[in-house]
Amino acid sequence: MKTPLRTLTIAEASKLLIEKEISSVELVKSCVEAIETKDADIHAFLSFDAKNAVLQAEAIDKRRHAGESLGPIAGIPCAVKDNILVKGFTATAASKILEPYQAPYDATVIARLRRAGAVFLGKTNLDEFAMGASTENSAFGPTKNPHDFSRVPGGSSGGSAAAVAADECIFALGSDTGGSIRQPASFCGAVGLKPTYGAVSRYGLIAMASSLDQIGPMTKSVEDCATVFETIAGYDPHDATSVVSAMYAELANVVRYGIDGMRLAIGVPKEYFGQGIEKSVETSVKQAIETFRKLGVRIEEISLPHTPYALACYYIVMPAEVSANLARFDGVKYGFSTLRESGRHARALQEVYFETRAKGFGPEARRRIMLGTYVLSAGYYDAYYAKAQKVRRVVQRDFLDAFKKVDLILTPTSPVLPFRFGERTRDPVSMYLADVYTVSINLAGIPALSLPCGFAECQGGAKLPIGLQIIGKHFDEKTILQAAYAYAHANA
Amino acid sequence: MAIRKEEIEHLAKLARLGLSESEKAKIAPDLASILEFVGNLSKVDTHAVEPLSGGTDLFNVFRSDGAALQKHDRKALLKEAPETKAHYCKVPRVLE
Repeated sequence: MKTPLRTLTIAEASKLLIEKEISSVELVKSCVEAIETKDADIHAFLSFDAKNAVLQAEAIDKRRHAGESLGPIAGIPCAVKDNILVKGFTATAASKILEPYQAPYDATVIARLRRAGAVFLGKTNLDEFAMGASTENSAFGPTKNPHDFSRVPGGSSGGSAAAVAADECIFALGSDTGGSIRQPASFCGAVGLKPTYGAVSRYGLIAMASSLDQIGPMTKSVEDCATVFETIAGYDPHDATSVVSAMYAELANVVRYGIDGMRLAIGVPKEYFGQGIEKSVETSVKQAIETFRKLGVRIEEISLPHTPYALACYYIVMPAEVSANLARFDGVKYGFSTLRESGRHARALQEVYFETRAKGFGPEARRRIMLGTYVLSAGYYDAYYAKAQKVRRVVQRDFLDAFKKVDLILTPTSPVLPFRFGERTRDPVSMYLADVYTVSINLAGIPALSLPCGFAECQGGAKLPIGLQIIGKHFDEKTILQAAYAYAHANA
Repeated sequence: MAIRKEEIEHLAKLARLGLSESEKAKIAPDLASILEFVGNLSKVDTHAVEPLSGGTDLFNVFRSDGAALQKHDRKALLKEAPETKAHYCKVPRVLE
């Protein structure tokens, strides 16, 4: 049987498109077929428009046939997390409060992909407003892990990770505030990059915690990850925190050189291999470290002493920003509103606020709004928020100190394998612990990538993916991707 | 650490968030357990540490002082609002 086109990577598909062996319409139709047959079970997509995707593909094919020279993304079908605005599609953030919302413009990352000729298939599921680690907080039902339908795909970008893993698209975009790209990539066996804070514009991303959020690629290969990242990165006047010096031209080509002759030093932090890590995860990650040693990398044990405090710091800083960002959902400007309810006549504006927000936000969003309001309120600000900002500096300093001695840091992406539905929903703190190896990176503002480093055999015969996290210096995505490329090819 | 019901009501008012009685009862222990969890931060010595308020140390980013061109289609933006009048979002009376 011929392998379906949808299983191709960007690099493979792009080569065939350029050689005119295949058309973008064929490639898109192959993904559409997968969505139509599999997505009723997986539920990676919240919205999807086959007809529109085929039209986009036809336009690209026409340009190619007219002799236009197009880049590697042209004609490649992708999926976009539903908290990123794509003009013409809804953007719900998996929340009831945005259920009727149609994106009136493209996010900067989407405008850049569109310019590069990407084809947009649809929008993927997430935990409401990207708050969660399993997609179980989606107001529209969870996504299933394509490797085992009884388990979560991770989150919050679980829909994007599952869509990539199930070959329902060639690549996807996610967003990462505390691990929301890397952890689902790990759980679904995809490659996911959380860029340096400021490398990618957040304009058109529905904000969760603005000092932590970054958009990034979720792909089938390291090379593809570099290609997508290079396309979406760079300064944008619409995001004041995007950085002028963030330039990544030709990145995908450089990445293919791997790490030969670089004499890299890689740090392995002892705090990430302690209590709570599953044996299969530890074994796989330690094997990956051995592979790097064989590739000529110097491995050094390091310490990031404030690791035990990062998660607590995150769960103050993040909800504080959530409570401010979600204040905009007031039932007046867009989205769900009690003003729309027929026969209702609100007596006062206040009533619209209270009722719209009561009906529109799910339990986790409410919890974080309340928590954020608490830590910012008079009498508690210094003890919680001001303290957390100082601890954030100390957590960042750990990394900056480590990077004086090493070029990269290796850890597991998640201490645990994909867990079962309902396993962590009873107690919020147990769900928060799923982010334990990823949040520090967002607090420090540095980049990190998750890539598959093996599988664990489970009862019932399911093989569950394990993710390796590679952490780098500010704006040094290049070395991360080169190392990831070298590892992926050493293993192949 | 327990959180009193009055405190929950005060926070919900600050956040403009309607909560039912049963939600108030459920959210109090949730918040208490999270606050207990984050309480370990007090163990970190942050004497003379400058706060890190963003993921970046960028400082005072200004746009150029010129007229911004109308970028968005006003009609498309207003279409998203539940109630409008002329070029405005319409809200119920604010002042008595």
